[in-house]
Amino acid sequence: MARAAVHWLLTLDDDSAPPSERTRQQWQRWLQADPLHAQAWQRIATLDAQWQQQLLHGLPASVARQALTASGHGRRHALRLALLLTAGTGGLLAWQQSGLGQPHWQRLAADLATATGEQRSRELADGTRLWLNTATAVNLHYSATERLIVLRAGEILVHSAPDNTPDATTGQPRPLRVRTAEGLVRAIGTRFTVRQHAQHTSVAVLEGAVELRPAQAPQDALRLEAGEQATLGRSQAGPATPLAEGAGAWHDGMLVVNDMPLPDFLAELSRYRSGLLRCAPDAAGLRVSGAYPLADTDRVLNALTRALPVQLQARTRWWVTVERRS
Amino acid sequence: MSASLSAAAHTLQTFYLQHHGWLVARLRRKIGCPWDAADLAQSTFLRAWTAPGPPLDQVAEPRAYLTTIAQRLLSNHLRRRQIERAYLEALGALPDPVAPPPDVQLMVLETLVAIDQLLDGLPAVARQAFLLWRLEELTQEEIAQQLGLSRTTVRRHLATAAERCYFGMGE
Repeated sequence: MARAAVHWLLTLDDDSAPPSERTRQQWQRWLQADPLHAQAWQRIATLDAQWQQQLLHGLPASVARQALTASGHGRRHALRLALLLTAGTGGLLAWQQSGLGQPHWQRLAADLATATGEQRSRELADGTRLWLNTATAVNLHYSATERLIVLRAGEILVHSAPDNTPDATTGQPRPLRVRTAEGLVRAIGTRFTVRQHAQHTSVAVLEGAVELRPAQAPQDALRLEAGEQATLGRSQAGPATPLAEGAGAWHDGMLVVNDMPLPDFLAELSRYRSGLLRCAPDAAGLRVSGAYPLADTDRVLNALTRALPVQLQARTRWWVTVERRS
Repeated sequence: MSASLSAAAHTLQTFYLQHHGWLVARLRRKIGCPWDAADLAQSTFLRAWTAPGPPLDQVAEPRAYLTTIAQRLLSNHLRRRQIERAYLEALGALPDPVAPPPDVQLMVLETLVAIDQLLDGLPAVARQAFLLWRLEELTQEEIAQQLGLSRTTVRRHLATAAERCYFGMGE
């Protein structure tokens, strides 16, 4: 399917033989034949758009291309150099200026990570499916006795699978759990999201049930059923409240909101774009409803100016303020 | 905290005590700067601890294992610096040199590193062709001319690179 998507990309883009109407119709049929085809096609478009958006910033594309083709001797060289440094003789180098300890250093150590604006899904060894929302870092710790997902930043959606390799000693399925800074979330045959905020974790259950255990009060477990959400703090969980409309919609690439205050909406949106996105005080009382595609946050902002009495004040592409229209 | 988690924490503690001093000393000898060696050692243990592989107390050659992880982290880091330097040089070589603000530079660098990893292992010419195609939006004909290749060869390189880059195939 990936191969087919690439084949179509090359064919439609072939300047020596511009695609005929018939070729286009075949392509359309292929797209519609299977949602996975459309998804594969969408993946290409999304990545292209992301690269354009994240790399160019009004500069010629040749700058980014040169950085990737002219950069020294490539990864192999970096690897040899690292081997030399850690295993060979002699220590030297501008390692002193390396800037270790910056946030990106942490991200290098993640098993799975997404950049701002990126989403990714992965099937784990036991068949559990994991979706990573924007700016997310996850470590996986699967052993003979447990299936542990460590959420270090961001948000995940977990679609758990029955364990295919139960604990050898007990014969029981290994527990599937997500650990955050505040505690543990145990899956009970289910589909749910977990999001790490600055000071707490939020959990929403779409199917099945989960159990929340605060790190400092593990005995105070809270069971959440489908259609419920709750906050997990270090010393307490809950209370359970009905699921917000549109919870989990991000994994379809949408932000779905109903009567949400504009500042909250912009805070949500800003998770998917780099730079600052602010709400001016005079617009803070407005409310937003609707479904917005996350792939193009510029377009969402422009849509806002038609839906609400607001305008965009952009100092640069990376510093946008939404204010009441004058 | 569950029983299995505290048992795991115990494993980590033992493992850490057994090997941490050794790893820091080794890295310090090789790299020179004590602070960076300590940082790298810390990241190495964190990585070893959260890696999906076998439990730490079952690793046959723990020190070789740690050294491998440290090498990989260091290699990623060095590669990142190479790309950063090449990017800044390319910026400086523009007819009208510019310096984007630091947050933009950081975002660009993150993306460049990500793309670099996606393209890792491809032949240099496939890599070049793919970047000309997707980033600079050259046509297949233009790429063939610029690289002095036949169109068929260009198309084959582009297909390989695109399958790898968009779908992670052939890694």
